[in-house]
Amino acid sequence: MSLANFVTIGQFVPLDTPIHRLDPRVKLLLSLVLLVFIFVVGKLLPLLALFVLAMVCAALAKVPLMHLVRGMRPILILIVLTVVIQLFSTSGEPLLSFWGLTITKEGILVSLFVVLRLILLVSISVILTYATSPLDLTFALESFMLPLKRIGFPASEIALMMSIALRFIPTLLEETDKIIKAQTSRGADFSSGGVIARAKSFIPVLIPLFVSAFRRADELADAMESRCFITGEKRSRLHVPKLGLNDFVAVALCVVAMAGVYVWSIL
Amino acid sequence: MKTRDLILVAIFVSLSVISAFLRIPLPGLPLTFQLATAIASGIFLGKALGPASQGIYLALGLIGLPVFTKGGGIMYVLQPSFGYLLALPLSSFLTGWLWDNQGWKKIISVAAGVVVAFAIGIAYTYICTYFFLGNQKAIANILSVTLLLLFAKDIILGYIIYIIGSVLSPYYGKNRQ
Repeated sequence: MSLANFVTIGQFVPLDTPIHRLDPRVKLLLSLVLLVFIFVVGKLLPLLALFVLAMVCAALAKVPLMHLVRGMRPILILIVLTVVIQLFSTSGEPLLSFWGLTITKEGILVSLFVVLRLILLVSISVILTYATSPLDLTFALESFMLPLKRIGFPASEIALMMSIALRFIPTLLEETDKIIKAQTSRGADFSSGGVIARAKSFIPVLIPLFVSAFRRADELADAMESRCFITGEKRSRLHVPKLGLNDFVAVALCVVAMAGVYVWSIL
Repeated sequence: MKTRDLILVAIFVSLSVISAFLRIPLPGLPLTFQLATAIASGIFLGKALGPASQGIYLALGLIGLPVFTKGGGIMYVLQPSFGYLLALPLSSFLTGWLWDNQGWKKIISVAAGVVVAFAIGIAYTYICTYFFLGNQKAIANILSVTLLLLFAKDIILGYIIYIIGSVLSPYYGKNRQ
């Protein structure tokens, strides 16, 4: 069992598509607005239109269909539960009835609506992470937090911590893997015994892991301070993303689409 | 803030990510170490930086990076089990606030972290199912009872982190002697 095999940090795939080329700030802001907007739309057909638009975006970003489907995994239970409950508990025109349960036309429509809403929510965030690198995302987050700096919120420190954290995930994963193998070769057993025995068998993994984490922190702090790093100072960046024409076009398109869908849903 | 503190917070964020994937292969319910790492962050980083590391972890997951057990993204707040994640900063704070290298205080602080995680987790599950499924009290009750069984799981995590904290805290973190 290798840990690194089933942990896939980074759903990001570096491609050169119109969606990938957008400024990360624009992408993050638009997806947040869209996520809220989904809850404003109250009718099935306008929601379906929004879904088609989202799929167009997914196609533009060249997101594989399987990738989108895999993204639904966290909400699978929720989808099934809602469908079952809505299907049988909504009253209206009966279509089918068996074992004392009745499926109504309204029930089918309502459950379709709820499922579509959930799928849209997931699709948008899947497209966002597929087309935006984690570092770009932290940069976008940092720029949104910058105004909070005035009231003493450490925005750039938090962005730096996020970047360091992302950088260290693979390193520490490898370390964990190594420790597990080292302890196994010394006779540690992780897969037999009762619950408590199994949990306790992880203590010889976690203690070296924490120790090595502290050691790495010390080493990195020395390395950064010897390169004149001072917390709280203004930082410069190697690549500064700039808003281009495509970003304004994307914002305009999104606003037009949302306005259209909104008008349709209140008609 | 010192450079070392900043990096330690960052490293505890990555440890949290890893602990979400480090699972004990149990039949039925997988046991992940997220809560253990959160409590450890309270022990080693203290009541301010510990919760900060957990907050950053949540923020990373919510903007869509796949750092939670089943990926990531804003839709995670719709998961009935999101309360357990939401409780991580609070567990970290409580443990960090109460932790002391004296015997019984260690037990109390870890217990406080575990209980808070469980209380928030179960409350969230209850509200979430109630909200989504409408007035389906029976289902919400069944779900809550099942989750009550998971409390045993949290106690095991608390026990493990109590041992680790007792071993390491004299040498590392805020309570270095």
